[in-house]
Amino acid sequence: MRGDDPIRSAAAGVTDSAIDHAREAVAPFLKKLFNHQLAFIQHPENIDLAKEQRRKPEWQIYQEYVHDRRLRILIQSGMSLRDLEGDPANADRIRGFRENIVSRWGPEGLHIAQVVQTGLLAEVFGTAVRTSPGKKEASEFIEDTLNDAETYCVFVRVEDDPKKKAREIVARVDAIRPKFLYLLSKGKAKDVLHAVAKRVHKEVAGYGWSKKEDKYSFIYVLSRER
Amino acid sequence: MDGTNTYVVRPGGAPLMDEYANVQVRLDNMMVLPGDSPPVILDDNPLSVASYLEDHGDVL
Repeated sequence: MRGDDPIRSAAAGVTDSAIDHAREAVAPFLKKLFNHQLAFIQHPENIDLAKEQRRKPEWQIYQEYVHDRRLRILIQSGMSLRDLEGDPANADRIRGFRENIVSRWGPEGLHIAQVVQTGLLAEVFGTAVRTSPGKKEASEFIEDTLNDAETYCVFVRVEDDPKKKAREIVARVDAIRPKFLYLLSKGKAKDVLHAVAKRVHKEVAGYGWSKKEDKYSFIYVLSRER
Repeated sequence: MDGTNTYVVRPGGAPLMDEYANVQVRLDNMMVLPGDSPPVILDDNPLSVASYLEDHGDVL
């Protein structure tokens, strides 16, 4: 019995009092939470990051053309990755984010997010609206290209051997003659992509070449001419 | 209190998994959101936030 031990009794009194106090303090929050009036968020910067993407004019346009839920989330994720990559202090955040994408959507999902991160989606979108007879066909073009990112997009990395990578690309073009092929690089891989593109250009006929560049990404676009 | 390795569990002790990112919700990353009853509890990583907003609209 508590009353038998005055010291224990006093300690228990303090604890009970603290619990009662905590209960009183937490109760209004719980009430608001269950009444749908309150959200509890440890890192509001993640909320801001996601909300910012949805406010951008870029997303306002894409969302009219992309209806697949998975692609919509991956596009917003790729846009967020692009925002984060501007600051080296975000390296851990980016790594964790990429791991989440792979965990949920697999390596293919990460590739789609990276396509968006490089800015390539704007190029794909431009091609879609330029070459499609209607909005429905443009939507299909964008969704098909993203879903088949493994086929239409080649990521060139800094550790790639230009000769070997060029051979892979030439073999792919010879095998499927894609209407478009996108060669992408980021950061220091730009020089490797140049070397790869030079070799591919010599061996692949019937394609027009254009290039896009921004602060982080370098992209070659091959468009089939016939 | 450091919640880095403190995981959130369901009554009974089963780990609470984030439904969007397949990760176990930790105390220091916990996000409790209104909109459903009971409230939705998620890990607050950017993918889960984006997924929640996609499903529920810009409610936050």
